[in-house]
Amino acid sequence: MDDSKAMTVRLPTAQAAELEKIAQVDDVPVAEAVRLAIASHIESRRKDRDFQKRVRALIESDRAVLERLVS
Amino acid sequence: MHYLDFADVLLIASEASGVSPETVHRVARPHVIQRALMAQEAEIDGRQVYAEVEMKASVLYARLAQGNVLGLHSAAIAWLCMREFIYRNGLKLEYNDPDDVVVMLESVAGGLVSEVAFASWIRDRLSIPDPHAEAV
Repeated sequence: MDDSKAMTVRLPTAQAAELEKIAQVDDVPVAEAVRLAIASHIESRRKDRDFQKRVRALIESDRAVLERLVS
Repeated sequence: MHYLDFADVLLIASEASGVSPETVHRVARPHVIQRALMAQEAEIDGRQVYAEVEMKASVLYARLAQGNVLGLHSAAIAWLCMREFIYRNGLKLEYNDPDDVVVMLESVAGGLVSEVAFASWIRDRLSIPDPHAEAV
């Protein structure tokens, strides 16, 4: 079963060129370079403790609103 | 102006829904996330379409919620993303009545209230946070 999802990403021309260079150096398809970049970015956000703490505090403080929105 | 990015939305969605960011990435609607994020920064002839924080916040919420980014959790995720965006831009949104908030959010999500009207509602509730208080 295919557990992947297709996405279209629009990049500035210069950034797209940089990405192609990185993919070439790493000898991977550009799509794989994009996947690695996204995974790395998600991981770095996960390690941002202040951000996590803030989101969790927000969920707690807004519990009355959030529970009604989801119900 | 400080914007959220794709990873931020995934992580907020993960915290809100209780599933991992990887699962959110698989089941959410990525084009809805991308469009909502890009809409905030939209320009015409080099000028921002939405210049004020409250308008950008409104657009972010409306596009995520109306786009049904993650099923039943869409409005909740959109609300949290909007709150985080407001925080990152040095402001705080305060409210007294959760019922009032829910009615407005559901109305915006249902297309009954415009993004401009929602921005006005947001603006009325914005304040500058006390630098010595806990950040929420």
